[in-house]
Amino acid sequence: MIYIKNYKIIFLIATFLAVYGCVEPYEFETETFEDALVVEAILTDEIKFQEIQISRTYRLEDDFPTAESFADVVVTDDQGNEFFFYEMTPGKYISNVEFGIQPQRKYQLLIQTRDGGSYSSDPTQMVPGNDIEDLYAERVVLQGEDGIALLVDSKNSETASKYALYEYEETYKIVSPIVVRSTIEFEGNNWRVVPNTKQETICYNTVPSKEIILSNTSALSSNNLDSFLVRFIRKDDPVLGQRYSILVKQYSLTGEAYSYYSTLKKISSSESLLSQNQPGFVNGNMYSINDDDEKVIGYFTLSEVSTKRIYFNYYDFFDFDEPRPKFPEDCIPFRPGELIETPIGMIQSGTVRFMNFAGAPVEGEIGEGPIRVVATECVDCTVYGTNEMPDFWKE
Amino acid sequence: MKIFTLLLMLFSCYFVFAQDPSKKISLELQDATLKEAILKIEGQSGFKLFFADEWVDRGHVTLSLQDVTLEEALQKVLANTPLNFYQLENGQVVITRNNIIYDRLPEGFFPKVDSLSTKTETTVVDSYNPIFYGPNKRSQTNIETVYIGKQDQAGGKRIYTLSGTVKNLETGEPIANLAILVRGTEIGTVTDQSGFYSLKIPAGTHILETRSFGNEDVQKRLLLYNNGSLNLNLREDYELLGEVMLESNPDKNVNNATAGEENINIEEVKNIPLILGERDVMKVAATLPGISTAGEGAAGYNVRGGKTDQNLILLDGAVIYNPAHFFGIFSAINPFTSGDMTIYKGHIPAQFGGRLSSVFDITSKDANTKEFAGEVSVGPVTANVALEIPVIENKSGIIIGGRSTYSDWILKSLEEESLKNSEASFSDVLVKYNHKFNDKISVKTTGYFSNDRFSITSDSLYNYQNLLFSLQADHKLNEKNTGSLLLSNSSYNFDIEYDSQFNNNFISGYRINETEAQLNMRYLHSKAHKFDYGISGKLYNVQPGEIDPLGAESIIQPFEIPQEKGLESAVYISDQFEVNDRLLLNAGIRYSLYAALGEKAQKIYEEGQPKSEATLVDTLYYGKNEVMETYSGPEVRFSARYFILPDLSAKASYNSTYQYIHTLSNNTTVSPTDTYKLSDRYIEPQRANQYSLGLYKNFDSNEYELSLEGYYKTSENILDYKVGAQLFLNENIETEVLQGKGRSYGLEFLLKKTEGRLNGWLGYSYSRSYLQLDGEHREEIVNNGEYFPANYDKPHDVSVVANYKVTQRFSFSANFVYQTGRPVTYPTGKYNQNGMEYVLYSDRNRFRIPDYYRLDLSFNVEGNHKIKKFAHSFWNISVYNVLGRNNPYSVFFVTDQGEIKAYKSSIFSIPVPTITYNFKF
Repeated sequence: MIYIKNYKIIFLIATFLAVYGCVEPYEFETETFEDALVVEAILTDEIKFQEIQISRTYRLEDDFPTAESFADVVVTDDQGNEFFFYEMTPGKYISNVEFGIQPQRKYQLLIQTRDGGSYSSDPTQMVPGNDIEDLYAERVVLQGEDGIALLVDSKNSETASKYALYEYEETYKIVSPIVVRSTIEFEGNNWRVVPNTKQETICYNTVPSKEIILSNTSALSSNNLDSFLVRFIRKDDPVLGQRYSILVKQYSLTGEAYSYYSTLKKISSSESLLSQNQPGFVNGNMYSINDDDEKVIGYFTLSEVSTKRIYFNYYDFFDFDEPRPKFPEDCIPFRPGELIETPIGMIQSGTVRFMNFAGAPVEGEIGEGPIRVVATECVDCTVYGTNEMPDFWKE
Repeated sequence: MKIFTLLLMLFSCYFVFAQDPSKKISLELQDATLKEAILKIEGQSGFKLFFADEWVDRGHVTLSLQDVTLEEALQKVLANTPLNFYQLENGQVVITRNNIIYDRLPEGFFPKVDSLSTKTETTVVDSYNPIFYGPNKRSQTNIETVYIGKQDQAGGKRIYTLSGTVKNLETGEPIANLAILVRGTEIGTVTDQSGFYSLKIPAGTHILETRSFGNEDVQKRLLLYNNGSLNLNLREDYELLGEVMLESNPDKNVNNATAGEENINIEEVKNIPLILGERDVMKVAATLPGISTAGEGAAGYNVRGGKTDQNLILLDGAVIYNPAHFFGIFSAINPFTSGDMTIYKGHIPAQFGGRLSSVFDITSKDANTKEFAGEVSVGPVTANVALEIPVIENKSGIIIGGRSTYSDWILKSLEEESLKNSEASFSDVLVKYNHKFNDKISVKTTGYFSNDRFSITSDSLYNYQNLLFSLQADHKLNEKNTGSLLLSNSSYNFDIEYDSQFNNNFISGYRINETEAQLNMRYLHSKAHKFDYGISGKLYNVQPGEIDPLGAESIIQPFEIPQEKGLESAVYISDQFEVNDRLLLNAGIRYSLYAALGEKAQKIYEEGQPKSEATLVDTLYYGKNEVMETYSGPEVRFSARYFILPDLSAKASYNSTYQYIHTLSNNTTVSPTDTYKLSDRYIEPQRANQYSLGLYKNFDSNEYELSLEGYYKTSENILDYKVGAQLFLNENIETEVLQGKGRSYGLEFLLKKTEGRLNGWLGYSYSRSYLQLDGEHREEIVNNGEYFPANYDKPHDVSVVANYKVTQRFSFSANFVYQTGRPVTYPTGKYNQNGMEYVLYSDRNRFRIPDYYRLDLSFNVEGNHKIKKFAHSFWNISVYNVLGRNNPYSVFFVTDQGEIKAYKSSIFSIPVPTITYNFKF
């Protein structure tokens, strides 16, 4: 929201309002809750234990969906094969056998819920896609922001699907800015300084993508994808600070599946202030057998999948005079309290870490306490990730 | 006889009754002629009596009078004859035929006028019963006498036609909507846009007077012997500037047969508070009941529950597709070149067609043909100049009006990086040339262009233009027949330029063009029947979308959706039939025919299946201009007025309409990138039926106008879209489109005060508008196929526009609006897909955003009123949204980083002050 202090420029501001208006966050609570079955099923050509998630819709103010447990889940094909699924964890169903989706065959997902609901998908086919030919990083300025773009090239044959859905999984290395040799060990209320043996200097974190990324080559001159933007990372994002890796998965889509995901994306993305998309229920290919009016959410998606992973370091793209972004931005040691109980209490609560015992007050240092401490995240990178190197990681 | 009349004219302006009471007359008459009787009276009274022999050489007077006054004696003698008399000051008495010379003003001004006889042009001269009409308050200076025509010795005809043109004395511009009345009668008319009038007047002596609030009132004494013409030149009445200007057709509200018609004089708009200083006639229209916008700053108008694409907006006869700037915050109609606007929201005259809900008929001013004139306005957003340039004195002139924003530099000069790269500017220009060859033939031509550019993100630039042209030739063939030929061409196009870091840069656009020829004829058959008839043909050419790579590196494939073509033609006839004094009918029929023309590869889908690539069964190829599909139908346009009391009328109408062109938009409000689609094999024309009934009453000599109207409307084949439909650059629009039914009804109340220090209006409407989308397949059904409120369904709508004049120079205006919040689709929960949260939406439009209200105030200062000065200036200081109400425009939900966030947007959430300066020269 734009607030105005200077009346001299009020008409200028008014002009902005005309163009930019005023958008502010809005507290919203579900007034009327609608319960519906939600199916997440992307089955691929890879021969593996396929996975299907079934949950229910949940209230806006809640954090997690309720799982749909004890459902009978089966995928059938047009040759009479049936692939049964079992519930591994609440709402997560895994196929009994390893199998991959085959082209030319029609599959159907059937779900029988515990409360007697019977659901089915439309018969669905897989359209083969093509491989990710190249995945690479490039330093660009995008809409005024300097950063790294992760781009995909993919050479598709004319017969392959023109539509694809992307997911990625990024993994980055975190290096703690401060290393401590000693740490404090507590035994009840007693404490003692011991050598620090924990590997907490180098960590890794893995994050899945959180947006729908779709490509469509139907408007392009050939069915080739060149420099397709999968992810953009701003220059000051600390994930770039050390070494970064991204795994991109490309799922081929049918035209209908593409239209489902793009509609989902369209109605849930930010929009122009003055023209709002008409929101509504996004029909997938699932429906209730017993009740025509019942809403069923989800698209039983069959895809050919192609994956690719790359690695790069900060200084592969940035000059040495460009300071690398760090996870904790500021790591300044300080000396809290006057008595030793104050820093010890803070250390015990986990907010700070022991560095060393301090002597006479030093000019410019914060506090005059007996122990010098620093924020935990400056020392312990496990705050941000895991200290176990992932299996795939290459230096 | 001539001498009598002449004398009468010389003296009748002194309305002083000077009776000599001393002379008493006694008469004894047995079967005497009138002449004998008059001569006797003359002898006894000593008065000189003037008369014409042929009037008095008849009669059988038998009378006995004792000691009566001259007046009484003459009354007795002339009783039961068509003769009257008038006593002059100098002891002379004039015997007149037909006319009673009234020598004093009636009690009070604006007597109860019996409107029932408004149209009775008296043909039975003997029963002539004059009534004083209008105020004679202004000083009675010498009345000029005008002789019209030569006396026709045959004398068979008693009613003659007087016609002429009224112009502004200083500027030579025609004066439109000026009332011309024959004093003491109910004969009157109003000048048209070119200042032309025509009156049917009984032969004899009359006083013709003009009445308006913008020009001096003029009286002329007419001696009408035959058909003739009288041109008038009127001075502008400076004293009354800034008032609600004209009292044209003061009782039109009650009197005409058109139900649901609104008239806006653009000069009236001047004092109404403005947003950012832009005078806006369309925004004023939206304060009238039955006309609303989807939200503050939203483009498009919803008339009586109709969609925004159902309005035929005409500028000098040519269609203007997107009459909005800055999305819709300003209208693209230049206020300085516009004359007036008529909105037909109920009964649409048969002449108009092609849209379901309404006609906005905007006419530009005719240029001043005598003197150079101009008007300049400077506001915070735009500067505006209008010039009127005479080309041939008294014959032709040209008016040029243009405006442009200078807001662009404001954006550029900002620190904020994201705003610095953005752009928002608009401009429009109108040129109109009018040429009058003679009293019978005149030609007008108009050209108009508007341009908008804006960018919201730094890599895309939007651009849209309206371009239109019209040529109108009017020809008066004879007394009874007039014809008007109208040629017009209009186009609308937009472009999107996308220029980013990558190799997918493109330029994309849309364009629609239409060319129309129309012949409109009027035949004044008789007093009871007036016919309008005509024929029209319109050719549409649509470039539904194209995309081209921008820059050499772009890998975008050039793509173009083949051109669409359609021909819409119509014939119509309507009759204004005056059944009797009380009942006036306006019955018309229009037959429209639409043909979708090739060339095109028409896809054919399996019947009974949802239309998609999967159900494609065949493709038919049509050659160039080959007829692919036709639709046609009769459109009934019927309206009637019935006088219950002289100033209370009831009107009823039934209208049916067809529309062959549709907007494609999946936004809840109008966007400049909405496209228009012609009807084709799968997209059927929209149809509507409207029934309306209203009561109209005027009070206090038309100072107050009150109306109450109700309507019920049903429509079919209203276009809607699947959720998230891709409409632009889609070759197979039919696979994304739903067609459903509409139903709306409402009650509209309007109270207007047209004169006085305090004037303005109060409007209230209760209206509902519903849609039903009940297709055969899952994705074609919205809200389980039940009726649901349309996006613009706002049941309660109150508007107050008031203007209070403190002195001639200072006035205050206020504008208040209250509306029920519009319907929205809210989340009823959320769900996860691929690890992200998404919103599950309620049934369409199940909830409403909070109610909308807003108060605007303005203070207006007119420059001084010296006649001999260079320019007349006008200041307007206004504050928009004085209460600072943060009216929500929309509430929307976004999935960001896998989580749902709710946002509320509003347009002007704080008071916005503005100053504008205007001057006229």
